[in-house]
Amino acid sequence: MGVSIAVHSFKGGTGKSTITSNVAVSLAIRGWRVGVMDMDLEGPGLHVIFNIDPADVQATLNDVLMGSANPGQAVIRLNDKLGLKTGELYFMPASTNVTAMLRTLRTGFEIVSFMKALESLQKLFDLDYLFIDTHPGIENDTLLATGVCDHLLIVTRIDQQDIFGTNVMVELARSLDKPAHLIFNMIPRGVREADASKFAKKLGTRLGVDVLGLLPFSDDVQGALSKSVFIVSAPNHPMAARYHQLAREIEEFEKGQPKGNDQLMSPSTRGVSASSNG
Amino acid sequence: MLSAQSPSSQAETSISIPQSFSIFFYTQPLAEGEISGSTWTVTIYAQAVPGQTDTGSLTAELSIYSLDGTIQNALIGSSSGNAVTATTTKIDIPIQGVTAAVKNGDRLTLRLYAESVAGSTASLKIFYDGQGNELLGDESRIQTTATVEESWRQDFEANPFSLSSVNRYWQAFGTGSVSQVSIQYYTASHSLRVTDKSGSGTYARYDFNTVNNPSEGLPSGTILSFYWLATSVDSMGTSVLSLHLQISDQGSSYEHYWYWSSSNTTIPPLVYPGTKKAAGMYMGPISLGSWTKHELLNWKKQAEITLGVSLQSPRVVSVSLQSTGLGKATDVYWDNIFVSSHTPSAQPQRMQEGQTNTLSLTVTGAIPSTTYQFEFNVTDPAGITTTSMVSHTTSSSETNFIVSRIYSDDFQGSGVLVGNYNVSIRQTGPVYLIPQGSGFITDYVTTSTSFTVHLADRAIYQRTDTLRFQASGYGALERANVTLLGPDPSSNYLVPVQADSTGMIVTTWVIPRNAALGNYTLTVKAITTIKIPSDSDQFNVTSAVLQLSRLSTDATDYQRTQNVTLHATLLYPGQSIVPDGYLEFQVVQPDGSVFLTSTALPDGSGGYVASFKIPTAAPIGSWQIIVPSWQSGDPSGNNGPAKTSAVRFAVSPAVLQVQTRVSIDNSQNGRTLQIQASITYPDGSHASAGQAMAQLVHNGVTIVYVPLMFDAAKAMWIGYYQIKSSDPEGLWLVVISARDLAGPVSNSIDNVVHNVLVDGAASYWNIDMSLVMAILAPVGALIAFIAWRLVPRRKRLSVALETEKVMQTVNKVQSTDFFRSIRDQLATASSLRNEK
Repeated sequence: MGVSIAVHSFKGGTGKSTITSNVAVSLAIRGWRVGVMDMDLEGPGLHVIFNIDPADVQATLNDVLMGSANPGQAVIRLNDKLGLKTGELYFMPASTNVTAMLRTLRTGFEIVSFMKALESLQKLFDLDYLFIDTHPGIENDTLLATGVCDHLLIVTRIDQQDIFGTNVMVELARSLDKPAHLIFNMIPRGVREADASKFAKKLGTRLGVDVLGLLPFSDDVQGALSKSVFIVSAPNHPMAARYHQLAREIEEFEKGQPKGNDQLMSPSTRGVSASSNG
Repeated sequence: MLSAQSPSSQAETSISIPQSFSIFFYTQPLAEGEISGSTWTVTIYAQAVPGQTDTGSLTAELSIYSLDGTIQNALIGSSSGNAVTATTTKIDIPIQGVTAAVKNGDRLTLRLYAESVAGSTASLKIFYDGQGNELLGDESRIQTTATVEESWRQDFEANPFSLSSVNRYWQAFGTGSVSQVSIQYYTASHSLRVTDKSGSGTYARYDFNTVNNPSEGLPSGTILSFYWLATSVDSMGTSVLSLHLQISDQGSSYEHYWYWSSSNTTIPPLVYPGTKKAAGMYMGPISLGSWTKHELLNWKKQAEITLGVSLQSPRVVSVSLQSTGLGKATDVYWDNIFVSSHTPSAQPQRMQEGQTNTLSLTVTGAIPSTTYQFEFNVTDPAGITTTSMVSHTTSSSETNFIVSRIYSDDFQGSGVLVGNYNVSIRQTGPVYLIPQGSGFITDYVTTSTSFTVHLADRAIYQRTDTLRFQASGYGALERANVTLLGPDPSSNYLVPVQADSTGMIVTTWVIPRNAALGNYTLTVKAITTIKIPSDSDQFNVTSAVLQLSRLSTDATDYQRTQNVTLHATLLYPGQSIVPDGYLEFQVVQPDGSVFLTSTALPDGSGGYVASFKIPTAAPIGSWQIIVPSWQSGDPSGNNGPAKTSAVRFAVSPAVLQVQTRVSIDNSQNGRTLQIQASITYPDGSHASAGQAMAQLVHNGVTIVYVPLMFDAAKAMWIGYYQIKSSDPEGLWLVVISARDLAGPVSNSIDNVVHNVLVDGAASYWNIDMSLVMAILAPVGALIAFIAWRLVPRRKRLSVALETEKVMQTVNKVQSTDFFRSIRDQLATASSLRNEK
């Protein structure tokens, strides 16, 4: 069975959804079967990036958990929409109302139920990766995602408040025994790569967590206004390469992680040729 | 120094010792031990009897006398040839004593011997007690420096040599075959054991020779019981020839002689002047018991004499025994007598109708082997007396006993009425005889007590108490009305009741908390049963004394500025809570001064609550909350508690809370470390005065101390530090300490640590640009300008890791139920996976 990765940031506007969508697409391009679950519907999110019309949403994970929909009804395949020739990319809206979803899962929250629901989706669609794009901040749904995932990616800027929240999430993930990585995004202009790397490494060491990637601030990405998947719309842009690199880092990390009885196979072993647009 | 001397308060007594005669003085029986060798001094007043030759010589001898005969008269020492003249003179006779061993029961003995003086027939007169020829304070005595056992010393001083004293007898022995005289003088009370005329075996006590009992007499027929002791070469003491008894009564003297030798008709010479009566006229025959062994001397003879005349106020003047032969005369000892006292009791003192009462009589000092009879009489409120008898026979060793009767079970025909019951207990056997006129009448020892019977179980109730009503003596299932009349007519009531199958009426009444105070009257009127007097009882209702059943604070230790919450519970005597009262209390500081006087009010849950804040500069130490007595109460005028109560709590300096924010600002002037600290008290208020300092530390080395100043607008303590290029890069510790102005111990906090990551990269462009500008002159300036434009300035990155704040946030999240639930379920899921 595949791996679930929660992508989190303490503050909004850190580029979390952008990174999630681009990394997910990159992995799909590389031949992987990838699912993306959006648990952050309050702000512009994945459904915007993926150009999902809310009318296309037949059911949500909440409906599946309530038993009013089957898993297949809660998934939207994006290959055609994004022109993906390889891999698989599925989008799963979690709920139109996260609060309702939490209430559905009863007081005290049965995380196992939610995990089983995710597992059933992963199995149904044979997913290699399931990205869970979380709500910014430290809320119950954030903790929920942290609890169900196999791996936590924390996107942060070099900002005092971001660093504070990142520090808190790292500690919480540690207390839940969840592996975590940092992704520094929107590194300010004028900061040398080496300096940024050095700083990030120092900070990571200080927080006790590894840095998976550094992404500079990009006017072009910013200018895309989250209306599309950047590596699809601008595949030759240096930032696209960055996203692909990040995807590779994730891939490498997950290969080295125990997955129970199932090891994450490379897409080549699945009989799917991997290619990169980056 | 051991010293035995005659009591000076006694009348003078002397004895004459004819030549070749001795008199002996004994101590009480001694315990085993040793008398050390030492000097003894016998001081005696002696006189050679006038009219004779006027010189005499006295021997004084000290020895040990043993009862078992194994060591008799072991000599300690003696002194002879002590001259005595016709003038009464104090003679000090020194005796050099040797060490002597004493066995248990031995007696120390002093022998005074009138030596035979050639050509002299003088006898020696020895004054051995009282005043007269003896000077007060310088009476006859025996003194020694010998060491003796401690018990002897105590006995010796408590019971000195019987030179003569109250209740002690001296022995006079003759060593020759002449008459010996033994005289006993009575100066204090002695008791006789007597029987009455009928000889029925009842006995009573009479105090003989007691100035305090002049009214007690002896009727004719009274038996005087006494005994004497004797020692003789033969074991039967047959040398006792006669006994002379002299009794005076109201100025008349009564004497009697008894002779044992029917062949000896010689009447001994009169010892005392006075009216002589013929034998048998005033005394009956003497009956003698057989000789029995005695510890003091060898033999004891018991005797009883029956009075042939009634005596009103007898005084035994003397009893003397005379003997011939080798026997030795002895003293007379009166038998011990028995004195009894009676103590009545009724238990309980107050009871309700239908209950029983235990009437008891405690008798102490009773006569052993005697049958006592008692008559218990109880008079009820109707004036009817019922009686119950009881008897008790004492065993041969019993002198104390208790007899009891149960009222009304043991009293036939007794009624059940409200009122006072008088109890009279009369000893009907044995009885006393008291003189009346020319005769005697029987006197019954009578004692009395009483108890009361009521309808209510108590005489006084507090409001909220429960009155338990009980009335008995009614018909089975009889109906009656119970009426309650009180001070407030509006609260009077009448309740119909019904007796049970035994005729008992039982009911209860909980006295309201606002019941009128004062006397209430309970009455019962039945349809059929008429009681005289009728069943009517009174009781009194007083205000309830409120009880403080709980007094506590929500904690035992507080910091300054924290709130103390007091909890208390007030109860009525009936143990119900006081729902709407008030509780006055004082808060007292460690020095005893009152900080606050306030009132705790109902908290809506049956308790009382009050809160107050401890000031910022409150004295440190042990405080008290005191609830004074009688200051609290309820709306009905009930007050309490009866005693003052207190609870303590401790106040300590406040630990200031510090929330710190450290930032590094980059500007043209360089980097500035800004430290902002919010310093608050436990109650959340800001500390705005005092001292706050930030110590910047890198790798354990202090870089600088930055004082923080309070900015009222921001309510923050702020300090700045310009980071120098020479300052080390890396993790700096910002250690905050603060204290306010409260005295004498301030509120403070120390060593609050924050981490700051300081990137210490140097300003590259400055170095480079200065180099360029130095090399390239004006063009260089343009190039430098271009370079400056082209070469991006290196931005320095720095953030502050607010570790403490982070952990506070983490802890807060981890303490939520949601997080705990996630964690627990993950752990369960993990363990399930591991099992698989």
